[in-house]
Amino acid sequence: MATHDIHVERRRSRARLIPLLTLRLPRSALLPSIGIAAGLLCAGIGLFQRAPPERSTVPPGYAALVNQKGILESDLISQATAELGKPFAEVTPAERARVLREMIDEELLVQRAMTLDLPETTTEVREAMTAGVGAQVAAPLLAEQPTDEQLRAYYDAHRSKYTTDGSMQVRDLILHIGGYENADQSEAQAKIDATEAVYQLRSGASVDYVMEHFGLTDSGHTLNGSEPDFAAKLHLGDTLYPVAATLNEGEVSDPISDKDGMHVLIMERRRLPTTADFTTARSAVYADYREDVSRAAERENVRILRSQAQIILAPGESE
Amino acid sequence: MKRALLAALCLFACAAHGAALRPGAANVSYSVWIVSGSSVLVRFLLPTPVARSLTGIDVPVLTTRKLGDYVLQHLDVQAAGRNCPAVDQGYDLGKVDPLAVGADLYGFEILFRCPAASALALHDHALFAHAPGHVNFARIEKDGHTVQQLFTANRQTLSVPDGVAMPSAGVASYLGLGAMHIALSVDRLCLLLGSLLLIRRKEEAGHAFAALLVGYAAALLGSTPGWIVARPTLLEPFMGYMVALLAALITLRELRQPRISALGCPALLAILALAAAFTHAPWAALMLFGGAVLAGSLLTASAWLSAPVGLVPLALLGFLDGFTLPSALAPLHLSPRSQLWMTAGFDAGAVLIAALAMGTVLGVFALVRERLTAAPRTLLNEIAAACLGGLGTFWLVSRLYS
Repeated sequence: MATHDIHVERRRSRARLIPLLTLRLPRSALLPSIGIAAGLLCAGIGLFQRAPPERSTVPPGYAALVNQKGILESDLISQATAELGKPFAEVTPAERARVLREMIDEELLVQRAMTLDLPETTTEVREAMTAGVGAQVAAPLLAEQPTDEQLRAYYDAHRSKYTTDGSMQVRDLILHIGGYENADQSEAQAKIDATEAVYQLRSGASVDYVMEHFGLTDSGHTLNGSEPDFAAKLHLGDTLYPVAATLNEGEVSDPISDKDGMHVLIMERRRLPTTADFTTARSAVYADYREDVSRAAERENVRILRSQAQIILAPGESE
Repeated sequence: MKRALLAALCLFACAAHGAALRPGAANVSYSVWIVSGSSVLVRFLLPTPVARSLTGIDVPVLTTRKLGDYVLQHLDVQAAGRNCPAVDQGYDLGKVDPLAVGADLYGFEILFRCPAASALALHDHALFAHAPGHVNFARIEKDGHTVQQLFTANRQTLSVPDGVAMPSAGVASYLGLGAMHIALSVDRLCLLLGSLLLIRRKEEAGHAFAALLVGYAAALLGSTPGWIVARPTLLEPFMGYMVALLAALITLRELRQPRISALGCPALLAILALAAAFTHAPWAALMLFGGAVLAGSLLTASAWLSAPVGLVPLALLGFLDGFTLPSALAPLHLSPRSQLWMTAGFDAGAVLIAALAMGTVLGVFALVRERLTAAPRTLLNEIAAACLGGLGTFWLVSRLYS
């Protein structure tokens, strides 16, 4: 009897289940429902996010968090090694704590500087930042060591950079036309006198004698001592300097006609400009080459930044 | 005729405020006033988008210093009717000390020293001149007692009572905020009034209002623990999306043009999702993709579920709008309890004004229904759907890519 009841009960349960198992939502209802749910889910994920947690623990790889900004463990190791001058394994806990404290102090000051907008207001900070960006841009290029061929090509293209300036001690005598002793003297007569004076000087006559005999005086254009070529050029002017530059030590120039009279130049001491050869100048060439590479990278970087920037000038301003 | 009237109201609302709102730019600021004897220390926090809105108006170029000067000029403290001067804080700071308060906020600290410690009045005039809807959430601390208050365009001065604890801003203040929030949001009004176009029977109006209530209630439950927060930059575009979706539903249901609605709306969203994905905006792309799937499914479902589909945008409106105040309050790090009653007041105000807007329109319709029976319903529905669709798409795209 009991077995029969069990069978009957099972049949009834099965009969109740069958309609449930065979129940199918209409196709038109099921798919849109799933779609609505999926759409809401996707849109919800896009629209909402987990509230950002306030970090109270230091994430792995970091030594500390300062106002939610991290100080990297690797930076601490580098700083400790550099500051203490020994391997990190030998750094004591007290030393490590001191270095970390210094880094936290530095981070606080940097954050404070940003809050005070120092890059906007302080020249030194701006210069440091500019230099920092320049160095960062140039770093990959500077990491490549230039070959000797590159340095030699650079040397050839910039030879003037390795030429030392010459110097000269020159005496500039002048014969004023129509001077005190002969008011009717013409330029031709003055030239004849000057030519004669030059002849006597070249023949070994003393300068004082020739000056007295022909009425020559010091022009006052040159210094008593030796002066660099650029200074001599400045003092002598465009007419006399080219002639002086061709004279060797002890030589006397031909008479030179200028606005204030006939000039005679006597080169008393001369050191000619010299160009260092590549081997001698190699270290200077290397430094100049790297500086030029750095400048070129900086220029290129600024060019790109300018192309990306919106720069508006006030009316009347130009750059 | 009901639809004609609603369409006209929608158009009126749209014409009143045609420009898109700036996405994610809740027009709020925050201040903490610490009263200690005759000194008042003020910390003023300004979200970056709000600070940017001052550029060219009150601040020629947005720098911390210029903004600090602006804040100094617009905050005042008085004691017994006399002005309290701001104190020079030394070093090279001057009277305004800039604070580090996070990436999206500007923070300043100003110390006012008063000639007396009685009858204190705190004044905040910042931003109200060019943004009348601006709200400053203020926290006032005195003698260990902290209260939450509000500065608004109509209430730019708060008096600190002597001897007794200062009361917090009442629920009515937040209720007013919520009401103003809905009343000044054209997109939300369009959604509320546009959804009435889908209502055919009295009981459906009740269902619609219930859907809105359910949305706000769900948002209140979801936002109070503070586990999830909305992405404000995507919330406002999604409002535009829902207006466009509503237009598609109206087109589908009322005008029987299933192809345009059922294919056009999801296709447009799918294209936008692709564009967002290409512009490396994964969350926007996901939102748009979800929106496309939702639109396609909802529009398909509307064929067999006539009544409930119109409720989905309303429930979503309530749910998403319910996150508006919690998002704005996030920088204050309030306790869930404080935030709960503030949000509840705000949501109640929003629901009340929504009910008022919907009820007024339905009431007006009930009054004039008998007289206006010969209006071209189909044409007006088409106009309303076109306006809503156009505006919704405009809001979606402009807010997404601004």
